[in-house]
Amino acid sequence: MPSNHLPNEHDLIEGCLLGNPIMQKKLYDQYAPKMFGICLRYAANSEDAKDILQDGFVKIFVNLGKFKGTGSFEGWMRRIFVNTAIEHYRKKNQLYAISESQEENISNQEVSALDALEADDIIRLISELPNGYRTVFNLFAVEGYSHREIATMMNISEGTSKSQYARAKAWLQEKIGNRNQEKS
Amino acid sequence: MEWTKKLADHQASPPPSAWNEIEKTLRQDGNSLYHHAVPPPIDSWEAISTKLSLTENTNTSRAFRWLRPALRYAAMIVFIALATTTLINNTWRNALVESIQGPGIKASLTDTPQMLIKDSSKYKIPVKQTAR
Repeated sequence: MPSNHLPNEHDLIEGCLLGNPIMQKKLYDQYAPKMFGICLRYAANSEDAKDILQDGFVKIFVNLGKFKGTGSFEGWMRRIFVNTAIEHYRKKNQLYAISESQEENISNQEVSALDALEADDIIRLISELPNGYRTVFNLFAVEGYSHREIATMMNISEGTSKSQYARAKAWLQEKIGNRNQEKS
Repeated sequence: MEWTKKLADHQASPPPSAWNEIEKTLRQDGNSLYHHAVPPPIDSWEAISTKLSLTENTNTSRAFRWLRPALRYAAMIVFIALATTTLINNTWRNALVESIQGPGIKASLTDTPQMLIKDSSKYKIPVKQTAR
């Protein structure tokens, strides 16, 4: 009778390194929901998120031998997914493509205090951010990277990272303001 | 431009309450957004396993990874040998032939009749005749 218990992380990694498709599927089942959450935060739409998820998992399986086992496996996977997302938009040359009309939407609008936002609402709002703003916002506000680290990761200056984050905040304020106006 | 003025105004002013609310939400429940999980699309695993098998087929087998650099070095050595042979001058070639086969061959390879005569007389091997 087959056992339904989940193999531990070490067994999963060992199995995947041997190219065992059952272990690969189990590893996917265990981590895909969390990783798809990351993809959705960095992607402009669900199709892009799906592409990033697929590319990220292929990279994970191909480079699994490079995981030294010293740090957290989930943390290692997260970094691969974040880098895949950055690469995805760099390939498309869309990381900093922000049109003038989009820039004009940034305003200094004061908004009233909000009801508690759900994570899904915030993700939806974040996905509407222009690509460059969204990536910097995710890296700084959610993942907790410093502006210096972001500058290195994205090959931009520290000042650019700071200004993109400031603009992302302003953009989100605008969106939340509109959302509140629609509600009232 | 209009938006740069707006941005400068925004950066000069303290962050509005809306942003404080977002930051509060981000930090709720041990940063829920960081750990936020969403079920992936159903067909994703199929696409990943297909891509994975394609990648594995494209990559050269590990057992034969040494073959490529070995072939590269072999080709380099052959090229150097051919280039040396082509560019080599006659003097060297003659010296080589002489060292291998003796002066008679060297003389026959040079196109000077004088050399041939001179060389043949100089290096004529005396034949000792014995009385019967």
